[in-house]
Amino acid sequence: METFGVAIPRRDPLSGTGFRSRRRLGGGASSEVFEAEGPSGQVCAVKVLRAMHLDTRDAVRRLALEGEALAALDHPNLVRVLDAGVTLDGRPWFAMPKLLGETLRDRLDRAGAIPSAEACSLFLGLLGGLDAAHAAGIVHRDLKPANLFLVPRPKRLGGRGVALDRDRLVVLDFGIAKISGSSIEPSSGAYVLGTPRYLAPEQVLGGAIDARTDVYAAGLVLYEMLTGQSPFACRGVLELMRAQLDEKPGRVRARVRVGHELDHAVARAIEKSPARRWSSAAVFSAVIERAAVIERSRPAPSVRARSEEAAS
Amino acid sequence: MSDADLTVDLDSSPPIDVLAVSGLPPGERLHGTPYLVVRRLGRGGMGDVYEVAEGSLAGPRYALKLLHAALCHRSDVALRFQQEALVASRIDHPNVVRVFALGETASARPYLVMELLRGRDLRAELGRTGPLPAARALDLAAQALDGLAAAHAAGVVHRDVKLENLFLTDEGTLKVLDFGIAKITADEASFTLPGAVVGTLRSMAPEQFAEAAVDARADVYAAGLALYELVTGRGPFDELRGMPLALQFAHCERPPPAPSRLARAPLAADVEAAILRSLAKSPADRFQSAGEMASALRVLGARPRTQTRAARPRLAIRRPLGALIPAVLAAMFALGVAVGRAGAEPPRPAAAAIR
Repeated sequence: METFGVAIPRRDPLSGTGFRSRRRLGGGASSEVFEAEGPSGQVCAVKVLRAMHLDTRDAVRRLALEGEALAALDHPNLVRVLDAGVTLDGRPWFAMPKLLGETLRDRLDRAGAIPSAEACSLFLGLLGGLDAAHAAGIVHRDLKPANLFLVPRPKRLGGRGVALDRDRLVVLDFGIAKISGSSIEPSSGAYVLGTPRYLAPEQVLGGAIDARTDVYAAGLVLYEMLTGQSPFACRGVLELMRAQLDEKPGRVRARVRVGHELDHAVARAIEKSPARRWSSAAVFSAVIERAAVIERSRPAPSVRARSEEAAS
Repeated sequence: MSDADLTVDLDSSPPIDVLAVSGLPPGERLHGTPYLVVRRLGRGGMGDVYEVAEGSLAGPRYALKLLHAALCHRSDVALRFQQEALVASRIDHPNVVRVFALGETASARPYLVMELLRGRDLRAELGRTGPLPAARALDLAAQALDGLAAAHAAGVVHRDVKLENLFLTDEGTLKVLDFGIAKITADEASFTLPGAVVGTLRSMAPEQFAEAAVDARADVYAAGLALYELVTGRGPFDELRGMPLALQFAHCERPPPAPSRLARAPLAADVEAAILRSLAKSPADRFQSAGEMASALRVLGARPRTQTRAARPRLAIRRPLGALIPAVLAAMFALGVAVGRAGAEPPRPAAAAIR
């Protein structure tokens, strides 16, 4: 038989997926993203999880279930999953439209805190997407600025020159934490564990996960959008997990000038106990809508003025 | 084994990959090697394991682990094979599986030739029998620790001790398998990725998560976990499966639940203490070597059964409740002792009755 006479060629990382990789767009702790060409020539982004799963058939079955739910989600603030599967070496992959723009992580690193009115407007997009997903029974579990994409809206020339429409926030990786984590577990090997910076207390302890888990992570994201920093200064993985469980986060108002409504909205979202948080993305969203009215009526300080304020 | 068992239902896979992922038929000669396939013994994550004969079917038999073709391009995986062969050449002990050769087929698939063992791993054994009587679990753990002590003496930390890697032969000898991610302590150049932790998350010592210096006491911790699972039927943090960060937090920060609370049969207090000592968060609080733990387990295992104080751990749990109603507590205690004694008479006590 020829099985062993034939050398196995070094293959495309997407071989077996029906997509052909054009270039590597980037990679994180748990996945790599490729720009790829689909079967009908369309250009997509294909994300391949690093975790290698041993029982390929089982992984395929679970992915099919999860992929169906993901594909059914159609919302302007959620990235669409076009296709999903498992590579030949057992790694789950997802195809999604290739987006233009940058992640919220990049934006925060590049430009620092976001003025409160703009932050509220972007954040309402996040909550809208979350609400739709929660209604479909899907919890994200891994919300973080690196999973939130800011897509610029087309610029329109107004009477007074260039008027920038606000960016649209798109949530990536819905449900992927579940596929890469529970149920399918790689056997021994090398792991790069993610950061617990946005991990809810119930995730640290392995308790029940629901919509309020996403409310917590979203609250931490909003805190960071408004202040440019995480409420927990520590860096170590264990230290961060201890902080999620026990450390009382400072108030947004102690760092930047925002209205009481907004300050309170964040504080409630990042309560340790799920029962004390906003009970759903929809409720959180209604609170932010009200706060946004107040933030918009405030004179927007320039970025320079804000950073001087923070420094003083 | 029929072909139907072996096909992979990936519609898009080209034929060559289907062949590579499925098994080799018996009688097949491995091109570029002196071995003939006798039958497939099992599937592993890295590759299938075959019983092979050297030269002809009349030749000596070995177990041959052949790397999955789909993994051949992964340098980390190929390195594990090399590591395993390298480590095995340093250890010679009846409780460690012997590795004889490392090679590559004509199509450049790495393989390892090992001692042919008949039996099953402890994961399978646990699945077959349910939680083991303490004396038997202690004996198996002590054998594993003997093998690990030999590895440690040779300057090797296993780093992946778990039930799947502890093989019980039909003769009753326990063999430690798979030194694929072992660390050679004298050797700084291990294959660890920067920022990565190495092992199996559910059986990893706290210091392994921290990427801190790992020594023999990490294997003591993992052996303690294995013993924990053999007597209770579950690991201390099993509910955290698939939650890597929560698992890390638990191994590093949360005390494991007392095994006597999870065991189906009463567990002697000193056996419980030994298990919990091996699971101490700080390596300094554990048994300081595999040898020390093996001796301690043998002493516990050798005691006559009637000395085990079955009621004691149960009593400890009920104390807060019982403090309110001492009379009831006393009655429960008496009952507990009576059940414990009665159960201790036949060779296999309460486990069978409860099941």
